[in-house]
Amino acid sequence: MVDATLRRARGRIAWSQLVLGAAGFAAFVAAWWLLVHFAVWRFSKLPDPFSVLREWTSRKPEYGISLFAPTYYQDIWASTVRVTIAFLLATALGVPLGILLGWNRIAREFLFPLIELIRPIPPLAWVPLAILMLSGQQEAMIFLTWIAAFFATVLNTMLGVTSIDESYLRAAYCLGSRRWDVLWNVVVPGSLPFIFTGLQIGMGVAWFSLVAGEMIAGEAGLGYLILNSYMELQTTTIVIGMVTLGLVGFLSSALVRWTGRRLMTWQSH
Amino acid sequence: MVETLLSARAGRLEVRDVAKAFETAAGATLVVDRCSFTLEPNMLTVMVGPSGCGKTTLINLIAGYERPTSGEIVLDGRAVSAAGADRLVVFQETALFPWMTVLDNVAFGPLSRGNGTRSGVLLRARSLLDEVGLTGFADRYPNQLSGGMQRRAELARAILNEPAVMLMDEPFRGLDAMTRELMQEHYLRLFEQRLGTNLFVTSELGEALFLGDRLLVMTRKPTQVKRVIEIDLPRPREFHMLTSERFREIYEEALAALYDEGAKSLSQSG
Repeated sequence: MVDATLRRARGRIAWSQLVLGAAGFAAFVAAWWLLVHFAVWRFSKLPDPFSVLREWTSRKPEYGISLFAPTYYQDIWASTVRVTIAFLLATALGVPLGILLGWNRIAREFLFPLIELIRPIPPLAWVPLAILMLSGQQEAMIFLTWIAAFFATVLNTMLGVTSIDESYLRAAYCLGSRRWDVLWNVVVPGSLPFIFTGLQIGMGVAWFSLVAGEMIAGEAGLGYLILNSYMELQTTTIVIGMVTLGLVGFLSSALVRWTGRRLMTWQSH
Repeated sequence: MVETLLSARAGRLEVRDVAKAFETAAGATLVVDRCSFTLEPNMLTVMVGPSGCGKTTLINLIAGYERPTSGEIVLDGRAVSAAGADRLVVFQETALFPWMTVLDNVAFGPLSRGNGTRSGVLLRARSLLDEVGLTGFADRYPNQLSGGMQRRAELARAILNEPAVMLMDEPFRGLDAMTRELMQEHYLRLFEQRLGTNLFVTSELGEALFLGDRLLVMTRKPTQVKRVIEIDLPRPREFHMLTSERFREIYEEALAALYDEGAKSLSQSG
């Protein structure tokens, strides 16, 4: 009975969340439409939300990009592949390095100052070097997408390890654990919440950097689509590209969050 | 069975002339000084002293988390140099791993040392959970348990590890009065069945005398043993002993020693 009451309360919260979220969305669309319709400032240069929707869902789009155009999916696919590779590389390299930095004082003192100097360099500033040093465009763009995600992952993982409560480590040692057991049974699970925060941030910055990279060096992808439409003054397609970026970015972050929740069932009670 | 278990872990621990100083911004502070006492096997030694006098530091030294500045700590003839499974600490705050189920927590020590088969360890862990009244909670996570249940799970984890010396650092602090009494009962029953060397630090004199065989009254910082009082109440301990004449006598004697130290530390800080 208590369970049913709780479930009902929780259901009510979910409903009000949904309603508020939808209201915020509607308000945004309305404001956009009004600004364009009454040509406030330079909004006359933008398409209104309904013409974007019409173009997006059109079987014969005016500028060639819509839900029914194969090239649209080619662009989404090209970007998704780059982000996925870069994100997996950032995770595979960043998590172990972060754990090493958090766990070993010598490694931390050796590498941390270096990392802190390289980290603030924005991905865009890496573009020339990436193009010069890496053989192909694809590699250069994956590198640009990877670098910021990598640093976000390393730093959050390190923070996770160093913020583990000392009493867990002490408890493990007096229960007879060796250093490697402690690493595997205490340090890794204990820093998992921070690691997943880092991965979520990493996923976000991967999309940022990817679009910047594609605008400079790309031949396909959502960033390239947006820039190309800008060159040809196809504003409707620009907005379609932006909305699509928002959607895939949201979905990929949701996927990371969902994976984290699956791995950390112990947190959510 | 019990004899063989006990002989395998004699557990006589001597603190010999130990001092511990900490470096702070204001210079070195001496927290423990010329401190000596012995924890005897199969005896529950209780320790009380003014708050902040250095009891937790002593626990950390015995556990091997910290090294004495001078003096030595000897367990069954061997000097203590690091943390190990022969000395187990139950902390003030719960140290159950939140990412493991209660059962995995309790079985963690023997499993990570490879001590016995997995199924055997889990079987013993389950029966210990039964013993502390946590039947049916084995597969829950610690944050699904109440404070008192977490403490009981921690007791079970400590006992399954069969340490030579159990170090209890104010383990029931922060629990409400009812839960605390229940925990004292659980702990007493576990001790009286298994014995072993136990050191129980508390700030509650009544709790100390109800549980212990021997009371160490500590001085203010830098701490050392001020008085040793034998608590010659019969075992098993029962709550009605709290109102006995003998309990009152011991209580007054201990209180006088403790009050003396408290007054000194008050006049010192004032």
